[in-house]
Amino acid sequence: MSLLLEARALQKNYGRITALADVSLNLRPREILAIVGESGSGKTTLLNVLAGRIAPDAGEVFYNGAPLSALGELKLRKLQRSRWGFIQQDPRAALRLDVSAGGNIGERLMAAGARHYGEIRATARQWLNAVEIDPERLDDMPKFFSGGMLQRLQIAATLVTEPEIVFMDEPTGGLDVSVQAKILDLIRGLVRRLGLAVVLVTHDIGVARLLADRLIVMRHGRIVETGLTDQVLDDPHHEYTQLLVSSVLPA
Amino acid sequence: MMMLAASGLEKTFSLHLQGGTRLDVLRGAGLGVRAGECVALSGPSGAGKSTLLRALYGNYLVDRGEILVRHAGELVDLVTAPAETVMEIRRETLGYVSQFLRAIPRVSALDVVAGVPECRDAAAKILRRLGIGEKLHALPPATFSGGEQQRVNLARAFIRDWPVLLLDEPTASLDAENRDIVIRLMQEAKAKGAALVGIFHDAFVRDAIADRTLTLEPVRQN
Repeated sequence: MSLLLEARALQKNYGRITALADVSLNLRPREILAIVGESGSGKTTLLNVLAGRIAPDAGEVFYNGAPLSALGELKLRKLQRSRWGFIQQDPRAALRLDVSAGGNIGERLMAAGARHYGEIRATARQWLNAVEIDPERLDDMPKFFSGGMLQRLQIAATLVTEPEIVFMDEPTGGLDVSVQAKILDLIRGLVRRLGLAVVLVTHDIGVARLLADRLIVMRHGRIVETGLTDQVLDDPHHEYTQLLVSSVLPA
Repeated sequence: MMMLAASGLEKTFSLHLQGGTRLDVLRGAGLGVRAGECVALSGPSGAGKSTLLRALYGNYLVDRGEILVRHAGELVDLVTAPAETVMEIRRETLGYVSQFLRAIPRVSALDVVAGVPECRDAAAKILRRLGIGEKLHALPPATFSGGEQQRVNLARAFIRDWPVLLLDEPTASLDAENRDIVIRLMQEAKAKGAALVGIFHDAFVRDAIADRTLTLEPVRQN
């Protein structure tokens, strides 16, 4: 199977701080790749570079074999609005809180080329239903939604164009555990049903174990260990991975 | 036909958090299993039975040796195969029954076993056979008893015919009646040509299902 996304020798510095050092990875169609590591390990920077939101100082990201840097601003934006999706930890930063729930979903559809008002509304309804929000809330403003509902709305507003790759930055961070379980279950189901490829950043080992096929462990901007998720978590080789795994409180 | 052939397996655990302690667990371990055959792993606690079984699944990474699995007609070395090949082998060829079920929040017993909605009928059937009544099918197994969880775990494996099936104490938390059902399931799998490798502490189960026993000895630590 061909590579959907490939990163080669990525480098990124913020002043004297190294955020990414010689990071290479690849992603295949329908594969779920988790990036774990503590705060400051460079995992969010890596996600942003992979998603074309930050340019690396050196190295290159390839999408279907073509370098992102050669794509041009316009084509990259178009890609990010339709074939790719990005789910942020804080849905308030991604959604427009004073535009209706349906409007938030419809906006991305329209950016991807949809024009028929009735169809857009119908699709938005279907997606509210898919993320377990009462479709009757189509015209409600998200500013009245709970944190869990907002996150589900962001998921709907991202997946509505049925993207090929979805980048997720701590999608369950900051939510109650009961809400977290619901979101995880939702993501798990949708990812399988739609055959999405996912790059998921998380500091939660349990989330990685539940969702990911493969795992990348980062520290100080470098990949210290990578492999099948269960293999890395059950037989961690690097000192830092062993610390990470042994630091989890058993439920 | 040889389905699984492992040889020269070496595994040392380096415990960085315990002052770099090194544990040599496997030194030259190996086994071969043909279609329709069952090999039991035995030996004292600490001899590396679970380590070997996990290595055969690619869950533990061996330092040396090869693990050949017959996958889609070819012998593939699990040790050197790329991650996507290992995932494919685990999807199609190589099954594993762990000692404990890892329950997923909110997912019903039926869906844990079925995996995909199309397999729900088959899941209901195998759950019933393992004595998990209809009433429990819609519930997430997190609240089930140890024995019930283990039977859900077994149903997940026996819902399909794996060419190679690895079993870690499959009957440990079961009563005699359920143990006998599991023995029958394993016998049926063998009759259909599956190659089985298992750890069975219960001598009754081992005698009923194993054709051969591979005895492991603890490796002397330096």
